[in-house]
Amino acid sequence: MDFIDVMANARYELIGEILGKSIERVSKPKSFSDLVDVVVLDKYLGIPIFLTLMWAAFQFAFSVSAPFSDAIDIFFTSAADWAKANIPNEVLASLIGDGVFGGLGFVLVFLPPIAFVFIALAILEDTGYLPRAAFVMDRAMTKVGLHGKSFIPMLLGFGCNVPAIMACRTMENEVDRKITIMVNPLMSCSARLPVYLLFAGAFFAGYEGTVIISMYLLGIILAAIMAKVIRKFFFGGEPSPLLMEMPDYSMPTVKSVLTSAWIRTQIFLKKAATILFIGAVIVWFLSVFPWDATNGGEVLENSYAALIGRAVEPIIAPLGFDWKAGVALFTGFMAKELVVGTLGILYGVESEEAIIDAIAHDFNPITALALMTITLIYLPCLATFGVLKRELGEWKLVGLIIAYELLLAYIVAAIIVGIGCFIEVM
Amino acid sequence: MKAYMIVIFLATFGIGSAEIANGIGAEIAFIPADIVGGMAMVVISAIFLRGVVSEESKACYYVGSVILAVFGVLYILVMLAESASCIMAGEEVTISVRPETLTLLLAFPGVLAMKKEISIL
Repeated sequence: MDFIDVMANARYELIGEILGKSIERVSKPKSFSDLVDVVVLDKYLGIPIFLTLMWAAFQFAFSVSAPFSDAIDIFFTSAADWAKANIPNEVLASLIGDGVFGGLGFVLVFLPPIAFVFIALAILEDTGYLPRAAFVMDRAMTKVGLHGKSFIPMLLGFGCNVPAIMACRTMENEVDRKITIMVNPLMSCSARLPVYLLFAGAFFAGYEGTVIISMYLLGIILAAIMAKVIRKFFFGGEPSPLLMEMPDYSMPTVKSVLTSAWIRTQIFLKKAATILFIGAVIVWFLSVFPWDATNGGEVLENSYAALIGRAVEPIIAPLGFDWKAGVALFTGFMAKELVVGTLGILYGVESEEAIIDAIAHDFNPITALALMTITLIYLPCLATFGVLKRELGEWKLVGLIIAYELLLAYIVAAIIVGIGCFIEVM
Repeated sequence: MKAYMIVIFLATFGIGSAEIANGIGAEIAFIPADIVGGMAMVVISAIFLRGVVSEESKACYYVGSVILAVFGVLYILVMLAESASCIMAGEEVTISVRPETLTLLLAFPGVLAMKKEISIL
């Protein structure tokens, strides 16, 4: 227990003493919030209720958003076909059709599920449930070496790791703050969602929701393990206790929910218009040039992208991946959404259905699960990398994050492939 | 209220267990194979069971009914989304009704009673 906690405890003891002397307690009927909290904060039901609501949120995001994604898919596929059929210059037609509409359109297909995740989180936030979730998770968080207040930054990490890491500034204890920052990149941000949606849809039809939530749970479990390891070997001490006030429950309004979701979705849209657009054009360039050698993008094996992919291939080949997966993971360092955008361009397809058919040749359910896991764990994106350096202030700790994430990604993916092969043999 | 909670407990537990059973290979008619969805229904049933055996029955009745209603509405939205996707793809619309949409009816009395309680408070 550090100085701040000793002071807080002493302050609350004194407050209790003064209140005891100056206030006469009368029995008061329970408020509505107290009534609900009896169940929601229950020792045994609290965590199952939290997990049930989170699962409902992801089912809502994945299943209900599907027709909107289909509409975007139809639009970009038609636009790409139109561009390739009507632009006379071959290179320009390929750039606009495959690079811009193909690459960018393929990422924008995942805008609706991301927006729906934010709508669900905004509803939970506006009802006043999220602080309760922090309280419910406090015991579990403390057990794994994190602080109760770590829960909110960790939850924000489901949206984007950049604001989540910045939200750690609210934590007073420096050690708790650093540990939370160091494990935050393991929380599955919305940029990884397109990768899960693509591979879960292609290889686990009917169980997409379950597979996707298992990725989120895997991230939470690994963050818990790493927090324990980092505290034990690099910092020491115990997490400080959680003190927080619960707001009353309230009915969220449509306007506040949509405004909150829109503000968060705008981050993705801005990224799509800048980093993802540039990324799509770079990947297009790497996959079609040298123009003559690739025959205008027809023979990918001769492209610059293949050169990069083959350099990475020896490392990832034992996991069952080829050079295309290597290029996708390489570009994923810029922004995680680029993993799917890159695969779309490399396989030369615009629609979601076509990419599912294409990746079915190079992946199977085991390698698909391994790729999803690597995307979850390996290197944080460029923006997160910058924020990590700023918030931690030490290259040593940033280097430690990169080292443990790369190693962990490889080990977990190897375990998945190993178990998968063992089951196949059985 | 407790008798009604026992009815909801039996319905939700039955549906949840059947969904889990189908998920691991059983073939119970009209029930989808969905292990996690089934576990969610079992959690809801546990809230009602807790209300039956404890003194906090009103709180469990309200919270359980709200979560049950959330799931009912969720699966209605999923049903509508699937129909919309079929229409856009030019396929024949097939509606698969999940049992959770029917349990929405069981949640109504609890949700309405809770609404009344909020207006009194």
